[in-house]
Amino acid sequence: MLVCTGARAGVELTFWNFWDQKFILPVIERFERENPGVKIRSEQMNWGNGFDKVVIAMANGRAPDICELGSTWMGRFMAEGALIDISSQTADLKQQYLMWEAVTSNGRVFGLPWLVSTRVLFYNRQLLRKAGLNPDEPPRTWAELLAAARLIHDPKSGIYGFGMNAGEGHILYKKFMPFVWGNGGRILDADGRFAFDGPATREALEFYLQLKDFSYCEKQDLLDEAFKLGRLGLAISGSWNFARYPVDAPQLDFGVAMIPRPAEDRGVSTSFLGGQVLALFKNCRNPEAAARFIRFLATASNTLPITREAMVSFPADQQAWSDPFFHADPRMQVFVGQIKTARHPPVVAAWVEIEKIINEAVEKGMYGMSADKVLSEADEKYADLEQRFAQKQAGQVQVTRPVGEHAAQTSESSERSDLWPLVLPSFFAVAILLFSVYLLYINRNTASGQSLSSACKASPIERGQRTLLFLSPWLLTFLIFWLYPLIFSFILSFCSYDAFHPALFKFAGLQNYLRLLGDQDFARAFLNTLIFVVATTPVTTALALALALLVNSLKRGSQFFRSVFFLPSIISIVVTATIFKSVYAPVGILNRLLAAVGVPAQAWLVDSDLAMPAIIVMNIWVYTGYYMVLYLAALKAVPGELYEAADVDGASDWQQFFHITLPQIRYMTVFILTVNTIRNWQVFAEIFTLTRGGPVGSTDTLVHHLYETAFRYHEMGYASAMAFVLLVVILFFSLLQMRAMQVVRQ
Amino acid sequence: MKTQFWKQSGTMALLTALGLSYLYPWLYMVARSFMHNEPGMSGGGNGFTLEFYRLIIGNAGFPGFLLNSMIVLTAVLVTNVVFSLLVGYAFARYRFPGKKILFWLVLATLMIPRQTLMVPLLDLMVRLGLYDTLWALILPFCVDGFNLFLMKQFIENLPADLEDAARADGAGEFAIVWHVVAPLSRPAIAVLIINTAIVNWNSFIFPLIFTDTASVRTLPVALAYFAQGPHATDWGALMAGASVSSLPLIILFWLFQKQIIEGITSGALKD
Repeated sequence: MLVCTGARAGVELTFWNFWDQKFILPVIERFERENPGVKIRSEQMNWGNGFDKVVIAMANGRAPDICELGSTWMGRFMAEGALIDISSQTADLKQQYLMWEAVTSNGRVFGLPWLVSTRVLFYNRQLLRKAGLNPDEPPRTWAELLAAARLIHDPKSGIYGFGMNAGEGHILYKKFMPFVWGNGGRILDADGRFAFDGPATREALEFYLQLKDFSYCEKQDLLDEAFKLGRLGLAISGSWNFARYPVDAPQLDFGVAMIPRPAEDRGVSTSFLGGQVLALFKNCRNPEAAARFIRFLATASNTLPITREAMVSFPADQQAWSDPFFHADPRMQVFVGQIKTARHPPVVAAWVEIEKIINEAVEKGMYGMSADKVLSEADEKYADLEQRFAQKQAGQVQVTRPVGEHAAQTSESSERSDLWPLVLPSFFAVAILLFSVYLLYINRNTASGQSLSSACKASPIERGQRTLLFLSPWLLTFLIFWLYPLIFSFILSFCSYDAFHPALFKFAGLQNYLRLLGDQDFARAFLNTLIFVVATTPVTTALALALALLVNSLKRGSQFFRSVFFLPSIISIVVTATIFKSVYAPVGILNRLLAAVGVPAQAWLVDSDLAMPAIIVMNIWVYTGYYMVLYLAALKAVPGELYEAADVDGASDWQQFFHITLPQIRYMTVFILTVNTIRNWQVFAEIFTLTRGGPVGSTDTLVHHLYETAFRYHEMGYASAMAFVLLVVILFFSLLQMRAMQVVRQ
Repeated sequence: MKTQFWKQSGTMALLTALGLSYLYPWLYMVARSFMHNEPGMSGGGNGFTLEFYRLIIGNAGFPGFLLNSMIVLTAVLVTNVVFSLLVGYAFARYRFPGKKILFWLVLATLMIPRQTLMVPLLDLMVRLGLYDTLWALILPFCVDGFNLFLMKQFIENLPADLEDAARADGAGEFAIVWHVVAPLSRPAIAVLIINTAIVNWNSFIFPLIFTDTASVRTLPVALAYFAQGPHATDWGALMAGASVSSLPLIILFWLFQKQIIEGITSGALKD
């Protein structure tokens, strides 16, 4: 069927990718010159939210023709039948490229490996020497690694043995699994059964926790920086540092080595292998031309510019490695050697969920849970996952077995042509019908308000039309842009629905809501959010009032202070959160201030007891000024005569505050509480930027949890159920507050 | 008199101390935007450079991104002011069936996490042919629930005598809203403008989802490309971008802050 489409005029293919367009556009230009008639339109995604965009586009049947995907996502995409089989177009590349396991399912190929990356052991030669070790012999076994870390570790002078990731649960498996793999352990055995809970893992975990005693526990970027500053003896990290260290810290004397193996006579050295692949979505308009393009793009010569500049990853095309670039520095060869021995995580439908189980296990171990409990919990979680997958997909997609044949069938039946196009028109038909009935009704029954009744001579009909005319801007916007999505997601909350098969939503009754009842992660998120709301709302309100009173009492400069306190609410919360990353950093201003008064430095965002309070404090800081301005306005409105009379009566400042000020501005207090509560229940951006719900779930809030459920785990129906539970909770609180407001009115 | 002086000085000192803590992140942001990226753990920087401003403002697309953001903001501001006045007035002054339910629907749009609505909204945009146009960033946001709530509350507190007088003189309802209610509501409108501007100007996820091509890209989405790499944040670019994009908002706040204070003053008195 795919005949000579390349020559057809006017073929335009969309290509979504993550890289600076200066790398991509010249390649496209050359390709278009060699392939007249084919146009490639490149769209850059950003690393922070790119995958959300892919998921949402996919759910709408608008996935791009060609897409760059993370290799660990491929299991699910392939199993769900979202991608096109390109086995025949890539058969001749088998020997030349790496990482085929990531794009292969049941012997069929669904993507072309483009960029690969791995992790190696970085070591600081100077610190090794200082600890009495030979800088030319970096640790090669677990025992040597542990011994070296112990000898180097000197936290009093700010030197740490090893750098261990903490406070970012989502990447722990990349650092931990090499030890398990090297020790002969596996995540899934040959039959696809969960084998993580084995002696090899237990050994690796125990070793890892021993290592933790001589480690600096922080997030990846902070570990990299600590190494750069010469404060870390050993760290497992990626090639991007290799590009930066020599430039930023030329005096840093460091080497790289393969990841240590369990012992001289046992196990192997292996590492994490991952990367980017190029894939064609099912709806690709010209697979033949698209396949030609990805082959062209992935060649060594077209990929090397990306590697040369950012050094984030290497071409999967092994021909690239003969390039002088890889021979300029012998340390480069360590990466090449490690890539060849590195392992890609299992390529299965439920990988993203399995990844979470492993990350949680490692994280809980690091935060003090016993290895036994950690592993048995992982086992339980996996059993749940398997059961859920079996139910949800009705056997079409199994958790671990990539399903080629089934996938093909599923995708045939999920063509969007069946029921989908009927939904929207019928919705609008019903909406318009309701709207007209309401129009008629309102036309007949409208009475004028109190103020109108005296003077208005218009007939009821005229008044009704006027009301409608006034309301119509909102009514129309609401009907068109809000009601449909609201009803849509309400229906979804009773369905089993995911982004891969938008047309296949299956009615699931109360299943989603029942599952919520037993979902411990949801319960934890609910509790975290409740704590957040209870901690922030009253404090923000009280502080805002206090600030307003102080500023208001000033004879001069009140306008200046008003602006100063308001400023934080102007910047986007994402930027504010990023600034607070530096405030809360180990050598950030907060720890430096504390050091000045003799308090030891705290790992604010890595300590599971401190992360939530840190976010609460930031939130309060950001929004106090905003509500202060509202309070100031209310304070200005309190009639001055009231205070003069009180002065005459000899009332103290406190008496005046409690008997005049507070009652006079109570309406504003209730308003602020209402709005603030609605917003705080939906806290998201701060969490997403600072902690992503970690450490060990201590900052996972409802909307963050919902977001992960929808966009990371693709369970849109389940996420919708969460949204409506949240809606009901907020509604309940708002009703209470409105009541309070009415009490105030009387 | 003496105690008065000490009280003032004490307040001033306290506020200055607090104010410094509020200014710190701001100063940090602006200062950092002029520094080279440094290998510091807290995204530290050193020296002086205009490289990030050159990177952002010098980008060929920058005028376009800025213009797109301006167009969207202006349209959303104008529609919100006009529509919130009309709808708020109807909610505040008219009695009609279903008013309570409609009002709770207004609030419900504020209470539902919008992450839930993105898939159906995108679907809708595509079907209406608005996908990848600036209309997709304007139409759904042209009457915001928060603003309606605000205007309704405010207008309810205004005295009705003036409206009745105007009506007795034969003024039409639109004329009343425009010539009587709008001038009295100037302060509330100022709050509304600042609020809407902050939310809309920093809006990120909707423009990201509803548009594709660079020709309709707004500033926050464009800035995200500069600031985020695969494994790290480019602090200099992020801070320079944030500084650049917060300028218009600061100007707006300075223009309207006096109105806010006066505004609620005149409204609240009549409760």
